[in-house]
Amino acid sequence: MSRYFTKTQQVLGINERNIKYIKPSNNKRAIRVADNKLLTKRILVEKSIPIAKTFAIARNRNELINFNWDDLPKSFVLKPNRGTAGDGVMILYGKIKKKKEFDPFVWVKADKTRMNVSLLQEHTLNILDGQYSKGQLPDSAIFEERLKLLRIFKPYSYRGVPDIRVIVYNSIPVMAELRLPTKESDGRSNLHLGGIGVGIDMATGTTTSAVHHGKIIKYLPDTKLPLSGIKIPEWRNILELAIECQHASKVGFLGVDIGMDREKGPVVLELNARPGLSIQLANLSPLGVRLEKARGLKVKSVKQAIRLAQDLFGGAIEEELEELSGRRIIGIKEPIEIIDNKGEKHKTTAKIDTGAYRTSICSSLAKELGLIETVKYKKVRSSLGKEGRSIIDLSFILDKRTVSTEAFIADRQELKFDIIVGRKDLKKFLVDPSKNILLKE
Amino acid sequence: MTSIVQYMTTHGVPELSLVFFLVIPIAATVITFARQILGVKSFGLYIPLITTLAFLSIGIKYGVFLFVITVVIGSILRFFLRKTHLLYLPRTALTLITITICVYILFAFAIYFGETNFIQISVFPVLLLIILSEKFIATQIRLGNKKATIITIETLILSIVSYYLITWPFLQNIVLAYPLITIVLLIVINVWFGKWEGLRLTEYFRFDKVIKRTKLPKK
Repeated sequence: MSRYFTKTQQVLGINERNIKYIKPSNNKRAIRVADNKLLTKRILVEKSIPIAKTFAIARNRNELINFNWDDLPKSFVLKPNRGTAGDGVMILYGKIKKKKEFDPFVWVKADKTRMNVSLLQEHTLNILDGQYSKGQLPDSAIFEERLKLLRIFKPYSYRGVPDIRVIVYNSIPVMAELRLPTKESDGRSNLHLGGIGVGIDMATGTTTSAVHHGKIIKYLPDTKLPLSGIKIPEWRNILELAIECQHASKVGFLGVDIGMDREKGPVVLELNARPGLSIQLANLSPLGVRLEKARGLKVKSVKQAIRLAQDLFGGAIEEELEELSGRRIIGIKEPIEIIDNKGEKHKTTAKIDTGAYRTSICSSLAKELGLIETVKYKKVRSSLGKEGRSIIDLSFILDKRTVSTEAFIADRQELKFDIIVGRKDLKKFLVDPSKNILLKE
Repeated sequence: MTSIVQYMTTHGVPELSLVFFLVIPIAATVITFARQILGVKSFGLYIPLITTLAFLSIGIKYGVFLFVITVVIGSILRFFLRKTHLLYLPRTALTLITITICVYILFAFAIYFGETNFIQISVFPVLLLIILSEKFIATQIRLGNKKATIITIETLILSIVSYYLITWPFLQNIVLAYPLITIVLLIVINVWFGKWEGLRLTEYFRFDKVIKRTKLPKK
């Protein structure tokens, strides 16, 4: 029961997020910048951080009346300047040229509904009237470029461009998720609008698990494509961008939304001073413990921050890779050098026995090498029946790796090999039965 | 303590008024508890509070009835008004006007069926409920029907619970007897809520899979 509670303490809840992270790390000015997309863009551009291009801004009714709709490109995104969580964002995909004179241009949304100028005006007016802004205060409307979809994401996102949310704390990226737009989210990637959140391994930029409507999923709902194993391109660049955004905006606990454009590469879409918690579901990993780890660290450079993120928070995939690399591959029979009591090396052949736990050396060989000092005594059940065995300190070299361990002394006179090496001592190795088959015993 | 209460009552302040003064802090604390500790969403602090007050004034039976009616009418209206492509604020005003007309009709029906109790309810709380329905419609537009409905139900339950808590004679007596202690206690409790970093009850369910998957650090 107490284990359960220790585990729950690692999960970040809203209370802890607000009290421990948002309040102390995000000052009012920084939050104001993050909440205002136009301000955000200005600050990011100053630091040469790539952003989505703004085609036009409508700040009030006057500007809307005089607005030149013809100048707008084929596709664009209309968003409220101070909207949150994708509210009020309308994505227009293409222009259809109509035959009628007085309504020459019609744009199409993700759900194929057509938007003519008057409908767009209506939506823009709603934005200006503050329908989507905090406290219903008057707002500005931004006409922004629509990013071009990367081919790698095409099968996964429904008529929209997925983005990547990275949470940065103390200059270290701690967790990330890929957000995929779906049919119901109308091309937008926000999770609570129906988007899919896919967790990303911080070390490799490969996706792991996913969440949709608060439920863990493994496959894309309609096409049954697996959602794990997607490799995000330019992963290091994305992490670098996220860290730079934190430095530029001075929001200490920050969620950065980065979109990928086919031509421009990673582009910062917006900053979030109150990032949501469902990223934990997407990664199936608690955020609290990662933030704790990141908290006390001193970060000196962007490169160091990325390395820290990859080392500390690289997950399951990274573990497998680390274990594979740096291991020597040996066969079932392997030349071994046993070190005797004078420090001299004695060559023989060992049987690599993954079925045995502890290394076992023949008593006669041990006597010969002067390794007679029993350190411990253990009762053991073996293929020879139950017996008590002495344990000695033993050092040997396998495939250029030195292993210092404790080994059983057993009567191996009748057996083929003087020494068998057990699992306990094979941690630095991988056993390949097809190797060394022709080795003499 | 009791002397202040006695001072007021002897000088003409009705006892019930004093109880209700203290009722607001209690209701507010209950709603805060529900949000911070349990994770019950509801429409913030004011709306459940005002709804509770409306219930206190017109009684829980009519209160819940009117609450549901205004919400339902508002939803139906929103569906139709969407097609008219009117702007947001005028649309909301129209909704309020329509709900008011419906309440008028309701009163007419009440006269017809002889529900004299209904006709005599104080009108001000009814107005409050009508105005509150705007928030529900706004949320419907923002989060969709399903989520808006869930939050509305949570708000309603919260208001009902607060109502029964406040009208509980036992609590009323304690509050009248120890007003100062009650207020101090409420302050302490709310300060504690303000610093509490634990997981909300709903979060235990929401992050269940994450908790199960968590590996404890090796020592």
